[in-house]
Amino acid sequence: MLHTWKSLGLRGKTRAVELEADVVIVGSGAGGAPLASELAGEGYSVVVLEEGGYFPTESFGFDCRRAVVEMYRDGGMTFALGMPVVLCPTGRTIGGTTTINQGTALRMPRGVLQEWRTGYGLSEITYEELSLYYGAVEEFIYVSKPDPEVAGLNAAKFIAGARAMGLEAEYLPRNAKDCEGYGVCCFGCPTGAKQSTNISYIPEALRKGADVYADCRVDRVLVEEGRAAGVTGRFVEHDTRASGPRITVHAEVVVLSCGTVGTPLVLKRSGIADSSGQVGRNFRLHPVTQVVPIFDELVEPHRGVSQSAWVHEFLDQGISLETTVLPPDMLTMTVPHAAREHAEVMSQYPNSGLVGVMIKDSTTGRVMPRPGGGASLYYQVGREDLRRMKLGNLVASEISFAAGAKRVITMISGHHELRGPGDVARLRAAKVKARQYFAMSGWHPMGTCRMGSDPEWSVVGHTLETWDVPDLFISDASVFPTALGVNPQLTIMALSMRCAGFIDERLRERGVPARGRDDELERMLFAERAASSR
Amino acid sequence: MSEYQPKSYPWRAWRRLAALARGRSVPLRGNRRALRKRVLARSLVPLAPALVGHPAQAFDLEPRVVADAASEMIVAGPAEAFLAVLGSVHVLNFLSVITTGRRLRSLGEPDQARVISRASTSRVMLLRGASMLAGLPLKVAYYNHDDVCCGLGFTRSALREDAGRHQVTRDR
Ligand SMILES: Cc1cc2nc3c(=O)[nH]c(=O)nc-3n(C[C@H](O)[C@H](O)[C@H](O)COP(=O)(O)OP(=O)(O)OC[C@H]3O[C@@H](n4cnc5c(N)ncnc54)[C@H](O)[C@@H]3O)c2cc1C
Ligand code: SF4
Repeated sequence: MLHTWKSLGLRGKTRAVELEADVVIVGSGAGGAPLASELAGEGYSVVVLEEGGYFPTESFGFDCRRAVVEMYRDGGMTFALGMPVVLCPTGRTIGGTTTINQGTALRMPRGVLQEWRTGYGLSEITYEELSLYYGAVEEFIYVSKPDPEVAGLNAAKFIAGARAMGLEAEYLPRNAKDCEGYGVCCFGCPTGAKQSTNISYIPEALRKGADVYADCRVDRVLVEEGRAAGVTGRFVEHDTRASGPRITVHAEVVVLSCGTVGTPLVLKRSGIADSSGQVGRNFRLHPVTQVVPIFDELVEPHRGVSQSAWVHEFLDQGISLETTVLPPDMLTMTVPHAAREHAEVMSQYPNSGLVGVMIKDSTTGRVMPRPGGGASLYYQVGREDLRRMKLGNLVASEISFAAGAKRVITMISGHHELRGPGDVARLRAAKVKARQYFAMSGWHPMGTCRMGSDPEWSVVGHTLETWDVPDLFISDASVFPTALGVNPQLTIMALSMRCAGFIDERLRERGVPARGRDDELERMLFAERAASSR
Repeated sequence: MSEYQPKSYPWRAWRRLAALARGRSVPLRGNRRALRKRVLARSLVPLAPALVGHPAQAFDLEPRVVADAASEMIVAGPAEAFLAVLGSVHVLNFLSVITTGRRLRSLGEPDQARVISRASTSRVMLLRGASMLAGLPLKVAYYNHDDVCCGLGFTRSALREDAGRHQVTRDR
């Protein structure tokens, strides 16, 4: 059942709530929701606690301002301090960041898993095994490529431009069913087409008997006799976010799925699982800058699939180019001009497109608790990443010109308006420093509780159980030992499904009664594990 | 002296003391967020037209409407965001004083625009950052307004209606 501040009638109440469950999962995003659905399906009693509120599909609209205030952490203004400042938004609602993400659903490149296996001792995770989980997730959340008719003109132009340059460009697979291309995935899909976890895994978990509590922030993990024994936190008032009554859940197994920013905070506040000193470190975010091509003809950048086409030829260099459609209030953030120049560029909105340049970052930052609550993020883009960012901007600009753009707006000071090949050549010859970027964004925070084979330098092992505290698992993007180079939600979900198996095993060892698991995936996984251990 | 005292200002205690010394008490009205919003909106209103840049189509929006919406967005974020935007306004004011001898808010819109443009193309990152940070919430609020969106072909009400007719279920 779904419980919210309103449905529980908590206004004016102070009495603490105590619950018991087999498993308590904190966070309902990409890492938490699939796990909840899997474990509830096994017949375990599952409680999900989510800090954000519940917003039904009917409440989603086309309003950026309302969406960020209601469904984004810090009203969308989470920044990583450094040069330049990196905007790092995350979701805070049922469905976590998946509710407000763009819906791109890509598997991790094989090379990255190889890096994890050799560099971080994660030889137990094979691509073949992961593929089974990917397959199951993809089927459940309807991953497919968008209909080109719906994808929008921005994507069509980008693909044409890339192909004219001899580059391979394709439509991106996404988790949407019957998407009509309203282009506002980041504000919550108004038709329910995007299969974010609030639409897919959470309703499935509820159907299987899980209890989901919205408006409920976890502060600490309870540890008894060295093992995780539950969590404690407070309800938060839906509108004002003021703290309400305390809630404590006692459980056999605790899973933190609070995301890359949230999970290290809970661990630090609880003072646990940090014997390696790695909690909050190794923070990566896939730095992104955008270029805005302006055409003579109409592009209608608000019509089309939010993120629909990409060039993946440069993935091995850690560069990915993806088109995005945006309403005017979001596009305005990517136009660095000031005053009248800005207004002039924005008046060309109907003829504008947008291409994002995303880098697989090699440098790392840090997430730390801020005195008084919340998190402080620090991140400095490295020299090598800057080189790649410039290269990505160059290719994106060239593709735009090849597609017929008359000018291209970039986020690089001194080169923020390119009017043709001459300007592109000038940018190519220039040395672009970090401080020349007006801003960057990082939509894929990862890595603050990294997974590895050694408790000396990692927080969790390949089963996602913390080395220091038995029965405490972490299932979210924070466990990634490196950046992926591609959008991460599918990998987070696949690892979450994998983790469900280990939790199931643990509960069975304990003799916690379950209804039993009888599905095709289980049998295939068993065969796969047996084959790889031979 | 202003009657509103944002709690997070380091000089809040000093201003209260100064007011008390003059025999006046300074009431703290509303909660912290409301105070921050009023303080921010007040400093953004006179700069709103110049920072947004009076687009060619000249959608006539009241600067107060834009500044209020921008402030509401900022105060939903962490205190740092509020301080950064307010600080940016002060940085622009400082630039205005040393280049024109007057505060930004007391200049006419064309002169304000000149100062802001100078900051935005400066080699000094602080100035570039200030023009960006002070302008961003106003621009988002401005381009979020229904009338402005309609003018650019993004008609929310029609899209919402259309989306209402295309509700998707998970059934296979
Ligand atoms: C604008 C945007 C677009 C994106 N687009 C894509 C895309 O197209 N494709 C893609 O693959 N990825 C995309 N991403 C990234 C992707 O959505 C995230 O990487 C992914 O959702 C992270 O999953 P997670 O489980 O780690 O965290 P989340 O999904 O963020 O879930 C964490 C949840 O935990 C809750 N929480 C945190 N702390 C607490 C606490 N103390 N108590 C209770 N609850 C708590 C949060 O409120 C949140 O709901 C995008 C991200 C953004 C911001
Ligand atoms: S593009 Fe529009 S219809 Fe499609 S998933 Fe995103 S918000 Fe929904």
